[in-house]
Amino acid sequence: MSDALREYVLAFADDELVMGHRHSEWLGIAPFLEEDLAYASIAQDELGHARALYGLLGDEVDVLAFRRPPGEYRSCRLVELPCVEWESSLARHFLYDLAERVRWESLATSSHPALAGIAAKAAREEEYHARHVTAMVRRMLTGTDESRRRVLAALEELAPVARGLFEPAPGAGSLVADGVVGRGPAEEESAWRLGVSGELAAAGAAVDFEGPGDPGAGRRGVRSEHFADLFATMTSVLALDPEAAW
Amino acid sequence: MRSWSSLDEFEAFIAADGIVEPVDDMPHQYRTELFRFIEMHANSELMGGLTERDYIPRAPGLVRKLGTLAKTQDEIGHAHLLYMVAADLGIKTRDEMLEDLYEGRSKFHNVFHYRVHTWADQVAIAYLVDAAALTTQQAVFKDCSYGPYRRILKRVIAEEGFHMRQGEEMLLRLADGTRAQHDLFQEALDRWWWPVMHFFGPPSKENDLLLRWRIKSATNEALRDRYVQKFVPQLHAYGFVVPDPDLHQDPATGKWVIGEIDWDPLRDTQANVGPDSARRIATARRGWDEASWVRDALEASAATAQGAG
Repeated sequence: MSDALREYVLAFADDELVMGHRHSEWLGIAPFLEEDLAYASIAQDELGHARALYGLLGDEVDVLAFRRPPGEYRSCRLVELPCVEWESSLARHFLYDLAERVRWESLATSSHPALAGIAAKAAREEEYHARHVTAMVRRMLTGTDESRRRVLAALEELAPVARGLFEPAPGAGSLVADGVVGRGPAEEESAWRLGVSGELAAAGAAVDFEGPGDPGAGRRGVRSEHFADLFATMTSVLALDPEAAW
Repeated sequence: MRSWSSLDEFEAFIAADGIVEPVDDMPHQYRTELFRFIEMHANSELMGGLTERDYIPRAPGLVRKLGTLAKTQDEIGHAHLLYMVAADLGIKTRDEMLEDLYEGRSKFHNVFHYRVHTWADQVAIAYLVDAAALTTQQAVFKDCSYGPYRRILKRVIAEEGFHMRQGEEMLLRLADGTRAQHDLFQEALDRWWWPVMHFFGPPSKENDLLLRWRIKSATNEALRDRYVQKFVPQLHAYGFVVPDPDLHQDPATGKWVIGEIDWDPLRDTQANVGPDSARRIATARRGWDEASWVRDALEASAATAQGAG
């Protein structure tokens, strides 16, 4: 496997792992029972994608997922944020899943058969995630003044951060040239912005994607200030005994 | 819709294996006893999910992460179904039941008033607690006189059986693992054994309406005994020590006999003052309170959609 493909797969897998982890934190405390169930189900799908993607890189999936030094993770800043307010979590879920749909679409005709296979299955699941989150965002934007204000504020804050999902991994250009990925990150980002703006426009809203900061630094191994806590939690049992099987 | 002209007539119907349906004009006391029982079951499934949530983000490895998530999703799914069955009885709506739970006005099973301190506690819940729940649910399912509850229990039991097997697999890893893993589960067993014994409930009452009306089909003592006979040998086989100095095998019958049960901890949990009750209820209540704007928005958006349609 080329370094470029490895970097690409790791970035995607790390996003999915951390996103699934963050969603799982809502189990039991979401705004109502149906939402608890939806978050749990979506979290499992994202973790399942991570598992499939790590599987392309080697047999030791847990070693890849949990035992790399933090600097070797490639997750973007968006997924590492705690988002402890539900509006933030919802806004992230919306921005992330619309982006994920675009990312899987880019792999539908991949020249890498295993990757194309994972993408085909994931795309089907992603359709449900997108449907769930767009319906919820629309209802929040058309619900009460408070719900609209809260969700719009969260979207305003997170849309610029979400651009980091499209920060190219090293060698991204060669993957497009080889037909592994159907389109490059810039093209994906445009498709995503269009999708997000279209959904929001239907509820009479809009969001500004431009903002300060370097949201793509995660792709270059720079972890956000939230990663250390997240990683410590995620690996706390594994760390008890590195030799043990659980 | 069926109705009965007297309680005697209703009891004759129950005694002749009759099944009551929600549309029936059931005696008021049957309705309230049944409601209380199902509400408690629903609350317990939900609070069980909340007990497990502390360790879901810590689950060791992707397979465990997926497994614990799926299990807790099932538990909350059970609560979701059971609240519907309970609400259909027309005594409280789902929101009223949730608010009573979060205000500490209603009850949930004693085992979910304890805290998960280690991964082994999570395993103990899946292996020991779910098996105890399964034992009691099977006994209800076998002969329950209320149709909707019985039908829901069929699904609940199928899923709980799966959790138990998952728990057994996780337990095996600890039992056959490193010394540290083995010790970790022994410590969990020391914490969970007695709460599980309490789980089956206090000594039976003289005239238990739940038994008389076939809402339950076995006494607390009988179910606890069934569980002890099965789990004591299993735990011994895995090399664990049951934390009961008086536990012994009856030489005549070969049956395991446990020591005397101290009921004070059960009474504490029933009064919502168990070891982790306050935190558990506060977590659930905070989530509920902080999200009231979401529920308001959904209501408003549904009303708008209805107005437009």
